[in-house]
Amino acid sequence: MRGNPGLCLGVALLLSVCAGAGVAQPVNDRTALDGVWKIAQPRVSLPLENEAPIPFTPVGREQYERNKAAALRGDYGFDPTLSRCSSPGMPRIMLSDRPFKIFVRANVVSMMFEWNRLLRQVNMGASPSERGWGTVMGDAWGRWEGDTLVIDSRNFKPERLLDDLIPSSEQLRLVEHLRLADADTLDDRITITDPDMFTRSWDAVVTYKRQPKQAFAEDVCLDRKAAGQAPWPGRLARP
Amino acid sequence: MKSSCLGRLLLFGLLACCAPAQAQPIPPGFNPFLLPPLPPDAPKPSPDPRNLEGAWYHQDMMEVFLTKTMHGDPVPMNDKAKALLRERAVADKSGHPLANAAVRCRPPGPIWQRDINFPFAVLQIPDEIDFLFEEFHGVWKIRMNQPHRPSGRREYMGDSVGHWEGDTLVVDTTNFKDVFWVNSDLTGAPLSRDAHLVDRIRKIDDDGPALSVVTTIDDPAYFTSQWSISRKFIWRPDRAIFAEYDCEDDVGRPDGVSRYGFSDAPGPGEN
Repeated sequence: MRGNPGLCLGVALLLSVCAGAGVAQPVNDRTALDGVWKIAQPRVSLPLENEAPIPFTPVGREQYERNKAAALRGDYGFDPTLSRCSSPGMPRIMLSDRPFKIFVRANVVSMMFEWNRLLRQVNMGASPSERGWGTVMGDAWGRWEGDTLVIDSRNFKPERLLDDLIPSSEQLRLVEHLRLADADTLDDRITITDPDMFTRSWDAVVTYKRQPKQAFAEDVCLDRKAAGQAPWPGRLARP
Repeated sequence: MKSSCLGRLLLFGLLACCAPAQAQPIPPGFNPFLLPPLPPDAPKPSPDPRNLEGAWYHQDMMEVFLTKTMHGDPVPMNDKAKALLRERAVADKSGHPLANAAVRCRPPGPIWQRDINFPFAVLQIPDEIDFLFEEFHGVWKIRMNQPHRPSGRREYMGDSVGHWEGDTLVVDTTNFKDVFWVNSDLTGAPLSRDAHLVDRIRKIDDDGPALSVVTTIDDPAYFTSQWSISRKFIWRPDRAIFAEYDCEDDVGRPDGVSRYGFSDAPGPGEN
């Protein structure tokens, strides 16, 4: 049931151990990011800085236009999140209109999303590395530059979406700079690089507002879909 | 048999896949879930007995066929539970096992969630302790020092409230959204929506740091008396970064669980 059967088998056989980091104590001077956050302005598409045009390659443009045409027809088969509640992946999950929690710890930063109980983990104890296959969320490595959390994500699964329409490939790489604009405002500047889809890197900036402490409700996307509700904000699911 | 081994593997993990149709007997003492020792410089858990944070892992062989309590007595099933298990076994043998919560990508309940041999992480804030699991998008939320919510609000993982008794975290869970299965087996023992679980969780040193969890089950719908199970989870900081789980990418398709040979119908006798 994993995205990659090879991974499942490998895990099941338990012959390999994930390289990585231990969870340890809270990091006192970084925990300002800790807390509950929610996107300031709900949206289904990535907010491009200065509303600049997306620098598509011909392949990227063709896929984008194809997705757009399908969406206009109400055919969302190209969108695994809308059509079957599959993980939105990165950076799309950062556009969720539901809250998420950040837990800053020494070796792992965890982002716990209310949406379908999704978990994003940032490895703070290792250097980025390539592997032969990708996942929807990719692998994320983090470091601190002053009070800014810099996250480098790579190893993505191909043929997924960056937002409601923009395609991506296994060449995708994301670099995020998360920093507090003030005590209750968090900015995530996302630099997107994917030479298969874009002629150059480009930036999107997503802003979040701090929310009161809360225990999340148990969200089950497939139950919502079965009840006729939208699996993902902004659109209604179509059969 | 339409239910392929690979499908079961993807849905349940190694044991549930291979145990019912095992071609070769497992050698005595063989444990495929055994991890190599941690290196000496591996991160250590907090010395604070009330700080459970970190990554933990169930290394012991999973009790796929749960028949005994932690004291070695037979699980005190009533006639209704026994009949339900028989029907689940018949469905399994027919090649169309019933699709429980885990198969349908729904949260499988806190006991199953912990029992499977995959890691989980504990994160604590003053009013809440969260157990986050690699599989099933599992989140077990424990609200500290608070009363239960009204029974009108039910969740698959139940409503869990906790408090400390000395260095033991005592968690009381009830108000489940759906019936669920105690153990990770295609013919698992049932628990009703009104089952009442009490977990006693504490740090221990057993050839290394570990979490001891003793769960007492009270569910008159299926059992004639309370009974308990005991589990140990070892400290594994090297498993803190989880592998990806995206069950919905398969099960969310129109043919759902039937593509793996499972029956999508609810189990007989479930309430």
